[in-house]
Amino acid sequence: MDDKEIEKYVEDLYKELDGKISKEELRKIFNIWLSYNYSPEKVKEKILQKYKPGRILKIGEIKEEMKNINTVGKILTIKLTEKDGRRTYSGIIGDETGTIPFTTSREMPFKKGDVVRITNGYSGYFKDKLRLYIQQNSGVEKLDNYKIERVQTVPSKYTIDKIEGKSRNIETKMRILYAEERETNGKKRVSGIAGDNTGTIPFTAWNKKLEEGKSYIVKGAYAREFKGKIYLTIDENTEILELNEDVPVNEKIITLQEAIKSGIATGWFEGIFLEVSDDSGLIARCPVCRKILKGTECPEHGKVTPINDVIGKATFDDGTASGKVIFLRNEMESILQKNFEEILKMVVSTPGIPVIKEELEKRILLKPYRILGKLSVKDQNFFNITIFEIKPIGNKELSELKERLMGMV
Amino acid sequence: MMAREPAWRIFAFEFNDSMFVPKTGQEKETNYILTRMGAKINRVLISGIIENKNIINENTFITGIVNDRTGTFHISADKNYSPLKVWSYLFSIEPPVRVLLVGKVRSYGESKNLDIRVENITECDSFIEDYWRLSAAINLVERIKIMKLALSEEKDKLLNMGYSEESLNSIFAAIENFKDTKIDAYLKTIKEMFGISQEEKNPEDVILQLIESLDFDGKGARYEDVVENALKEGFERTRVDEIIDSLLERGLIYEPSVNIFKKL
Repeated sequence: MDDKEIEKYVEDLYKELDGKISKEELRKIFNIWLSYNYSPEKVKEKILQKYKPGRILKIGEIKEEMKNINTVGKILTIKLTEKDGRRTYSGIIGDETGTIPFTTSREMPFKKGDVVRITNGYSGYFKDKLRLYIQQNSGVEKLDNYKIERVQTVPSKYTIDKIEGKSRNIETKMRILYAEERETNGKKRVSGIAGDNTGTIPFTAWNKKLEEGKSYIVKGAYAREFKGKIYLTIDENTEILELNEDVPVNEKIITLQEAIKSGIATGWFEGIFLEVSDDSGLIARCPVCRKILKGTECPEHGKVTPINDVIGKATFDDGTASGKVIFLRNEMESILQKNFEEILKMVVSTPGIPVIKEELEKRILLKPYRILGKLSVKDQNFFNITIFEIKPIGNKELSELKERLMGMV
Repeated sequence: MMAREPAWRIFAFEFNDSMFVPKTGQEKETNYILTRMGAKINRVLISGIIENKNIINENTFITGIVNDRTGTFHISADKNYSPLKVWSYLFSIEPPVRVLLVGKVRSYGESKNLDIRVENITECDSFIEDYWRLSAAINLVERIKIMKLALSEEKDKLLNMGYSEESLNSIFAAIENFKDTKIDAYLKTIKEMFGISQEEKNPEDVILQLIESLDFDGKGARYEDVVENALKEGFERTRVDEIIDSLLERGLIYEPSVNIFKKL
């Protein structure tokens, strides 16, 4: 630990103690404690305990083996157990910085949701969990006019394959494989696909900035199930932090049959395009709901000025099943290697020819590709795949297949 | 409505070693063939060289032969029924041409010859052909693996192992209809095709390794776990029992409690 870091602690302590103790004095005490092999955090606590007894700690500030703890928290759960005539209360209290389980043999005539002040408690580990102990001589009092709106519960860590429809308060590390930004009712919505080395999952994020290709740690997201598939929701209360290193993503290929059977919504598939549909080309969309329109009338929004867009449709087959895939504008641009303006120009300059369909055929028809896509199953027999990423099979993929075959025989 | 039939990547030698699935007499019934290795096929994706073609019936029908190095496929196109693009492509090409094509199986003539009616076709390079050959080989070896299991295990057990009912039905039907499965001959062909040496792992080593790796808690490996994993490796149940007995006799493993085995 260098002087600069020590100086930062001294500075903090000086402020915390309202300048009651001189920096010089603090520096001296700090170094003495430090020489006894205490961590700087612990030293800080010790100094604060000595010079500012009775200060109210945030729940998140409670560390191991602290004495004389004063804190205020909201009771999240509380239960009474009676054994051999001994009454023990236990539960969890929390505030906006965290939660902690508590145990006491003192009477606690409170209920869930009450905000209480606890004085002279102590902390310690039991069964690998930090707990707050309330003693007989501790003070416990209910605060009627003190509100704690939001409690920061500690999220549980998940890998993407372990997320279930009922999962709540999820912490996960993931890479954004595909993201699309839209505005709904004045709220910014990012939806797309995220992945880690166990799988991929579709997500929706509200008023958050999530960029394609970047990796994040997400704390406090939740999952929901829709038509048998699992989606991850990141709302305003979810904490997201960008990571400096990339989260490795598994590009494990799954078969369409597996995906349909097991209800996997998104994944990498490998197969061949057997047909490009005639309805690939320019389309008109409702500017409000983005529905594809036949004329200038939207069934929901009436007469509108449609916006131009391009779409591609093709039949994709991986040998286990066969379904319709949809290329949205971004993917059309990347596969045709033209931006939207250039695509429009191409159509205008070749009237009467289904030029988009023909160009798409040139690039994908009867060629092997890997696609990252989202499956929507219409019924048992029919499904659509929306493509988010597409790449041709190259030498690397070919050697992977060779290796796979070698391993099998 | 029926699901769209997947396009099977399948070698000619297996494709021709097949039978037509008898029709049940319903309207618009799909044509299927069932191969010896348990593939129930309506649509195929094949790659190879078109060796020759014949334009017959007053320029209204084309037949051709595609060689995939394991055998030949008979293909056809009809001027009135095939897609125009397919027709004009086949009409204009001069064999030999390397192609990738998708088509449906059908029978023709009195003797019920097997034929592929082309739905889409394109010239391709050797890279695409290699890719196709690998996909076809992996697909075949996977079915062989399931077929080996099906020879010694009940269907319910295989369903529990995660195999789909549809593929199991076809495989059990193939075993019943063809009697001799010729699994070894098929495997040999695949190995020769890709230059994979015939060296086999010593079966006792495989079981011994399984017993070691399935010993999760240090108390030993459960018999059922060993058998289940050995089945996946291509062993038959009776063979596993024999090997376990032999390993016990030779003192390489012991049985700390009933049906638990531990490596010494």
